Amino acid sequence: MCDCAKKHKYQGPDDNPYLPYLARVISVTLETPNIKSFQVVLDDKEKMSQFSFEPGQVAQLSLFGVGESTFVINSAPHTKDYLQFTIMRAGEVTSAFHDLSVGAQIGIRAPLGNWFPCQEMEGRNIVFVGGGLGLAPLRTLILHMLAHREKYKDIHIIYGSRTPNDLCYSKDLADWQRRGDIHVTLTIDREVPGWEYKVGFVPVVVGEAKLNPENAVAITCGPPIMIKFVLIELEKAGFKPEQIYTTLERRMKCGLGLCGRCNIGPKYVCIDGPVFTFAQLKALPDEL
Amino acid sequence: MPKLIPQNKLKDWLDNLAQTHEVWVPQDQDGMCVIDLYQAEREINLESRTRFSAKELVFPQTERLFKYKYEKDKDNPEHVSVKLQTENNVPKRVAFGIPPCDVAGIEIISKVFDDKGYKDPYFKKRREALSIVALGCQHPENACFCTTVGGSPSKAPGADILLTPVGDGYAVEVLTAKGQALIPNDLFDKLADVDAPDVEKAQQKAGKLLPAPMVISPSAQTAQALLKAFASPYWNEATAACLSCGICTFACPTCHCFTIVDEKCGRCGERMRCWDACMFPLYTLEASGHNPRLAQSQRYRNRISHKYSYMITNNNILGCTGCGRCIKLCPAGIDLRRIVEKLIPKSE
Amino acid sequence: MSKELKARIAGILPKVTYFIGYGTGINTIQTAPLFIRKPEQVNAMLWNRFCIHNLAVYVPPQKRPPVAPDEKIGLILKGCDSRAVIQLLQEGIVKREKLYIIGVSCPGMIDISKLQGKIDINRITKAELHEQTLTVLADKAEVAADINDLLYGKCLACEYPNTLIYDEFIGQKTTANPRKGIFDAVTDLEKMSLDQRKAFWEKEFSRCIRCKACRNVCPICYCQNQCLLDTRVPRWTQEQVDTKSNEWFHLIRAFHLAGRCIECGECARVCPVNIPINLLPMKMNKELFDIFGWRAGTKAGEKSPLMDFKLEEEKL
Ligand SMILES: Cc1cc2nc3c(=O)[nH]c(=O)nc-3n(C[C@H](O)[C@H](O)[C@H](O)COP(=O)(O)OP(=O)(O)OC[C@H]3O[C@@H](n4cnc5c(N)ncnc54)[C@H](O)[C@@H]3O)c2cc1C
Ligand code: SF4
Ligand code: SF4
Ligand code: SF4
Ligand code: SF4
Ligand code: SF4
Ligand code: FES
Repeated sequence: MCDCAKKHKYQGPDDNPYLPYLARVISVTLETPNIKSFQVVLDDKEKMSQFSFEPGQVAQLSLFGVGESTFVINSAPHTKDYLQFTIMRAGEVTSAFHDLSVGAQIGIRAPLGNWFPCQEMEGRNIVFVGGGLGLAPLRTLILHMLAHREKYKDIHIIYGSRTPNDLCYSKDLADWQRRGDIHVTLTIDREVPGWEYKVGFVPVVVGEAKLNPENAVAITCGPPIMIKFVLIELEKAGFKPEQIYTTLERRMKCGLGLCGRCNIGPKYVCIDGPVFTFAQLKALPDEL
Repeated sequence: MPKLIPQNKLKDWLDNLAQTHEVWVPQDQDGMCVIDLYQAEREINLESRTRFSAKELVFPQTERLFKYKYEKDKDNPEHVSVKLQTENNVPKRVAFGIPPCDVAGIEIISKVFDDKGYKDPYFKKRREALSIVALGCQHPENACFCTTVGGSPSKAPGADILLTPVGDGYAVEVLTAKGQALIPNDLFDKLADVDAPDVEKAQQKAGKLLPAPMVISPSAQTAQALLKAFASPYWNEATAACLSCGICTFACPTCHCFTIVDEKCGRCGERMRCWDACMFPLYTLEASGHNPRLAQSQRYRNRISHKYSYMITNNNILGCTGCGRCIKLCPAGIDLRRIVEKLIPKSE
Repeated sequence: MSKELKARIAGILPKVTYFIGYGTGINTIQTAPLFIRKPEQVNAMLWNRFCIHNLAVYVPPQKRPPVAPDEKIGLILKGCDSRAVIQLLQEGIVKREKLYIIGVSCPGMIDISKLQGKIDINRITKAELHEQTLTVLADKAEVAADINDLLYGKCLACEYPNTLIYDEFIGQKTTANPRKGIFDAVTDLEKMSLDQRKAFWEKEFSRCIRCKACRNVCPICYCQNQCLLDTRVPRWTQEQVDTKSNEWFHLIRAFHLAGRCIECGECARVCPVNIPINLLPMKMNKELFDIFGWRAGTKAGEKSPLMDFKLEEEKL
């Protein structure tokens, strides 16, 4: 393992990776009716200023007495004053998070898991394909690339949701659309009055975009069914499985490769993932 | 030269150990043989196989990870903070008279919890505090097949002391320094020596009681065989009767999966980990309702593949000791041996 | 198994997706459920004195391999087991026409664990059954025992030796000859003082490892992921395994089985730590029998008193 991997591995207080660091919520934003973003700072100021992670890495957030759940860190790696998480109300822990207000104490174990190899992507054309909350892991990478814009060639973001109300990070989307140096395509599933962008499912929009696979990588994240069809479209456009990255979801507990549940064949999503190339996925047993 | 401890001196040794350690030893209780705390007044049973393995000594079914407590700031009651607290003390234990397959189980879990990658501090502490006095096995059961998976009924790598039944006593072979510390000199000085060849002979005899081994090695071919069989319809056929219970995993000396849960009581509470099982449908159920292993055949396939393929790939070992517990306790009569035999080609 | 039985099952195989019977178990004195899809598998079927598994556990569709909507399954059921089907039909869990049931008369099943103590039943090398005598060789020790001393408790109390609901009955029907009352064990418990009973159950619950085999093997427990003993929201049980949470787990389950348990005893048979867990639902059953005269799964078409409402109840 290279040093960089060690740097981005969670140690935990007293070298106990099950113990979280304590943190506080400093802001809560309503993204959509069932999605909220939380900005979080570690109680330990020094730890906070030293905290480093790579785009795609995740955290186990704790609400003591309720439990722990996995969320991707979606703030930019260069943002040192807080970490951001976007949480969709799903079950026990996520609902409890939605009830939190600013100042609430939480626990955090991060960074966990692997990441997008941004270095390998330098000098290439980048296509992002996101659906709904799937923009969360992409956001970190996008913010990172925009901060080092000169290192990457064309950047194209294709993002869709069911309705305009379900689009996450509307402020970011507006910022990105305003910039002249990247291409943003927004789409919603069905026609809505007042919507000025595309209408149609994300995979269809990907097909229509006539993407050029030459010297390109595609990064996609969203609901499994969307990913499935996006992959088909990307392959049709000539993307090779090695050129396509995605992040996987699996029920998780420990995040350390120990509790067992997140395996796909011999790979554990929590330590070998969540980022995989489509080529890697093809080599795994079909157990998604 | 190993010493020979006669049956009637075992109690003296156990009493001596119990002064400094929690001694866990097989004994009969409620119609079964279990591993439990040694009590001078209770009979021990070194003849039968314990119902469950000794893994609970290093990996208890329920274990507290930490306690938490919410505290209000005196000056600013709106401001609530959490305090976390862990425990550092684990008892010094001796597992006395456990069979080689149980030792192998603990060794296999060590490979997962305390080798490469993340290490499990809770397991590590318990493992370090545990000394193992293994007992060579003389009475393989119907479901035993340790020699098939590369084990032996009479050798116990990982143990600190190995006992081998010889005549009316046990040959005591000290294997480690930790084991040496368990030998009370005043008792052992008085014991007779036993010839190494006699011990060897007794050990060989035990091996012959097992079925002629079809050896499965932890090789890349074995790992591949199950990956190749992943889509085989045989899984459905072989596991149709499976009830998705927790018996085979909980009884297994190598199964080590767990869930993490919080239990609260007012402003305090604890985070615990409890054994979980890949045979339970909820194990992989995601909040969205999606379950990548919906069918019991998929779950059973994971159990076998984990032991006979994924652990080879990830840890270089077979994840099965051949103890046979999952076979003899399965309420649906599912026999792992038949499945393994069918799907993994014989080595030689 | 008789040629007749095999021939009849081969005959119905084309009508069903699979047929569930008994096949070889892990040794000569155990059988295991066998799912037959092909005619050549029929030969592997067994019907002997070791067919203890209640195959009705596979009647709820969520507990067995799926079949197409227009297809049915076949299975062989003992008298006691068939009560589960009557109860499940009444609860609307399965449609009668989706099942093809072979009825038989059962002479009582042998509980090999009753030999434990005399021989080690995990080291059996040979077993033979001659008339009323079972001879078992284990670890070089041989014992011979009268079958009547080896029958399962429920078989000694058997009131329904013939399958109650079936499409085909094979062989002659027998008459019941119970040597014990079905509620005898419950009555014994009732005779204990409150403290004794508390101590009894605490000792039993302290051993439970919450493997949930008792629930999963029960033909009447079919809630699967929705079982409230598994859900976390709302949280009825704790994940941690200790006497208190175990007690809670089993009491909730027993209440859910009140008047529904068909007394097959499977929950106790499969328990890996020998807890006679069937006594809890049996206690509930006894109450319902005493008050309403109700025995689950004995009368097709009749509704459980706990699922029905009458203005006047004689004993309430
Ligand atoms: C790598 C990764 C990144 C994720 N990133 C995000 C994100 O940025 N935002 C977001 O809203 N959601 C994310 N999820 C999904 C999120 O973890 C689940 O929605 C969440 O755990 C549900 O928890 P719950 O307690 O509310 O649900 P319950 O259904 O009550 O689940 C109980 C427990 O099961 C586990 N669990 C259930 N579903 C999942 C799941 N899909 N993935 C992992 N564990 C699960 C958790 O431990 C959870 O506490 C991510 C999942 C993974 C695996
Ligand atoms: S294989 Fe047997 S013990 Fe294991 S889950 Fe299935 S029924 Fe239970
Ligand atoms: S899989 Fe079965 S035989 Fe193998 S170690 Fe586990 S319980 Fe024993
Ligand atoms: S077989 Fe299943 S429960 Fe056992 S260790 Fe492997 S994944 Fe975990
Ligand atoms: S089968 Fe026995 S050990 Fe398992 S949950 Fe039921 S009572 Fe507990
Ligand atoms: S509770 Fe036990 S005895 Fe009653 S039907 Fe279920 S498995 Fe049979
Ligand atoms: S979450 Fe525990 S092994 Fe991956």
